[in-house]
Amino acid sequence: MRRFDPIPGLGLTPRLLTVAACLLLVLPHIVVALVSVDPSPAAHFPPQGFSFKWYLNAFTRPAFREALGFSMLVALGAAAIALVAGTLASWFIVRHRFPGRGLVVTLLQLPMMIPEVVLGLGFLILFARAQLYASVLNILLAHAVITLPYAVRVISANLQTTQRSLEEAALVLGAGPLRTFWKITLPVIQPGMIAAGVFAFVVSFDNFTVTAFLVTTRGTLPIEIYSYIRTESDPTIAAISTVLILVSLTGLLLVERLVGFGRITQGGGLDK
Amino acid sequence: MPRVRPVAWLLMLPAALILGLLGAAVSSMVAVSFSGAEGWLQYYERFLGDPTYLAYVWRSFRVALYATALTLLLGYPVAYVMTRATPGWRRIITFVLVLQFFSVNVTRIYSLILILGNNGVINRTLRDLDLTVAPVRMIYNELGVSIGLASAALPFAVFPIATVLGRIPPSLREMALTLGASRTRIFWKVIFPLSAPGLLASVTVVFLYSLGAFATPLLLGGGFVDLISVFAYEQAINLNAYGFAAAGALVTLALAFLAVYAANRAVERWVKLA
Amino acid sequence: MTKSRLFGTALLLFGLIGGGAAAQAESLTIQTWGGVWEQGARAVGDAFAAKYGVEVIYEQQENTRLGIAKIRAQAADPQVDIVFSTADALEQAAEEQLLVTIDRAKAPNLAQLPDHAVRDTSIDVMNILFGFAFRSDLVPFPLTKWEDLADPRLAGQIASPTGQFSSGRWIIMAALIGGGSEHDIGPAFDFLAKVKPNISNFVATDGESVKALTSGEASVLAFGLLSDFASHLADGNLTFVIPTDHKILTTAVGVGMPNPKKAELALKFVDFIATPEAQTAYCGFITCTPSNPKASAPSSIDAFRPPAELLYRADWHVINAELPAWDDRFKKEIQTR
Repeated sequence: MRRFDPIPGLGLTPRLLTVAACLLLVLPHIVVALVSVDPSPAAHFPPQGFSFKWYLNAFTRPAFREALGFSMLVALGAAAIALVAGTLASWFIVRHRFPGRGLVVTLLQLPMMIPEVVLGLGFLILFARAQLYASVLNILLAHAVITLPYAVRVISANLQTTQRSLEEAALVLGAGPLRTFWKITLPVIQPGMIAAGVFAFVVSFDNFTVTAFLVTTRGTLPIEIYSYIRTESDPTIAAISTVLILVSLTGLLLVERLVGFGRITQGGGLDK
Repeated sequence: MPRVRPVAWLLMLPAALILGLLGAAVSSMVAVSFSGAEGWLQYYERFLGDPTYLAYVWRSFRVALYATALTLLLGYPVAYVMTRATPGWRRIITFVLVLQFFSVNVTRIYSLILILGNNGVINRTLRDLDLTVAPVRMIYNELGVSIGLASAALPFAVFPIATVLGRIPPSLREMALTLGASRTRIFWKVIFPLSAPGLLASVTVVFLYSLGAFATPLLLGGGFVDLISVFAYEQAINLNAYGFAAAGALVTLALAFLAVYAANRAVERWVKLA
Repeated sequence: MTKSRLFGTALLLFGLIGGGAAAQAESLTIQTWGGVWEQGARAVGDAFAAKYGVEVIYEQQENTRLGIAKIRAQAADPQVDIVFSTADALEQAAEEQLLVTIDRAKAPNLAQLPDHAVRDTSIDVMNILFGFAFRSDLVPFPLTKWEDLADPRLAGQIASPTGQFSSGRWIIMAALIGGGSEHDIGPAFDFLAKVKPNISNFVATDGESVKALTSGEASVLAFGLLSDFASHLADGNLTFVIPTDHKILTTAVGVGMPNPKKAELALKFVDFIATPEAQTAYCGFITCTPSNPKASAPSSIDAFRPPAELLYRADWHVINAELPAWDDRFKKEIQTR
């Protein structure tokens, strides 16, 4: 057996704990996928039959459809804002040295260090004082704030690993800084931007806490799912969960193909 | 490195606007918290003077500590295994972790209810096997909330530790092995102290994340584990008491930053000693 | 941007603004709770829309308190024209001058309602009865009286409402069981302390209280609304009990008009929902007792016709003044481990 051991010379405890961790992360998805096809509203496991009716229920309920649209709108908008602001800011902090640079870098990461409940409450109070009651706009602005650090992290990591010589050559040859950025830098950091955009989208799409403080009448998908979980017991949410995890899986494989995990994990996204 | 021309600062404009929004939100929250009609400290006096409200703070800290401990108990070995495993296994583990990050948190909590609930997979199995009469309580308590938080926070804990562990030269371990040290001893005397900075980064992130959690305690706490977020939501949304909600949240935030700062100092000193 | 695209954008914007303006012509916004409550409101609202040729828009309130909080927040520029709420919440809103006065002369159908169901700014549409419920396939013995909730055999199997559930009525019921009332709340906490070891989790809303039992997460619900469970009683596994060994708690649900700008149309709706047809339809979904004596309650609650002398309406003045203190105490003594 020893020949097949992937990690020679490792004790039993870390192996067992790793297996436990992976089970904690993977098992729920499998259980949910199985429960989602159980025809009974009692959500049996293992399923006692096969039916797609909860999928049908999930897709035909206007509340979920509207919430999905709302979530997509907000997540796309927030990701776009974070991407533009994050790319420009990253270019500034990576390619320039100036007094107070450390402070600027820290400030750009600040939204990630403040517990979400404080952010949610802060935005609620800010918007109430400013008499802004437009749910979509408020949530979009708040999400732009919480997604910015992720965009900055991924793009700056990407910028740091790319060669500056090309940019310098372009500048020496007389191209203006803007033209250099547009023609040289941008194409080089494109994979990083894709990763950053996906990240910002996911962070916004998944957000619950900040959003919960800001919703008025229409909720995002996580909010709708939450209220359904609290009041209904049928496997509709299992169906939605399964669809979402399949979408995530596809998206993840796509990102992996396009830019590779290295960009996400080493690059900084998760490496808070 | 080009000199910073003043015009280059324009690059920061969009990000500055966004951060300005954050500044405005936090400062209006601070302002409201000091705007009591009966004196500027009114809300703080009320919050700090009543054990009912302080209980939210202690409960939040306790649950955040449990969740952090559980996350590290699972996350550290995962990071350790990742740095030692073959590239293939490392990819698989990374994939699992990133998938966790990419999945929607509320649906993950829902699946935990399906498994750990009073009528969940585990309890139904136990009942069907006639092993139990009353359900074994795995959610609707602080343990359940901690499990939920840990499962969400694992990716955030693993990567900083894995990064630091990856920087420790393997030769160090081999050298200690040839000198006759046991594996356990090498780990605790060499590897673990060297990974302290990554560990600290993980602790900070997971602790602050757990402290501000909202959906997890609401769904897995069963009303027994209301954290500071529940207090803030109830006061602000249900009772329109923005000032009081803000005071409570800010007290918790200040204590949390203090705790994180103290932990950082303590670990710094410990690393220097080691 | 080319000229034609600019033109297209302008046209689109114009269309949006124009569309928005068109939608504002004769519409009535109704705010109600979700679930069966929304179905009931829609049944009446859609019939109203058909009869008067107007558009009815439905907005959801998460719970009674939040619903009124929204009305309060919009006081300067009300967006809701009809609000469904409990009688005590409507009285509270009236005291804060959030509701328009009802002109009885222009609403002839209100004469059909009993006197106590028509107030200056709101009317009662139906009455709620409170009791407890359990899963007969999961409990160790069939419960019959309130004191059974404290039985040690039910350890860890009871879902309890929170202190704020239905504006503190679980606490008031506990007080009635212990020999007190909303004026003497002490006995409530003595009884609740006896139930506490049996509590598995807390539910804050109607929907959660139903789910606690249908999902099997709990086998007993300590306190709930008959309306919420009536549609489940036919399934066989669910039993609802209104014990008659103590007073029976009841409250009313009604409507008020928060928006002066739409008061005329809203008054037509108030008049409409007072009719026997509308109330029969409403209670058909919500399984309740209509306030109009000519309207009929669905047959599924025939078994629940408690003697009138046992019915108890708590004083909403006391509730509104004392609820925060009760809730604090509930959180400190009951909702903790």
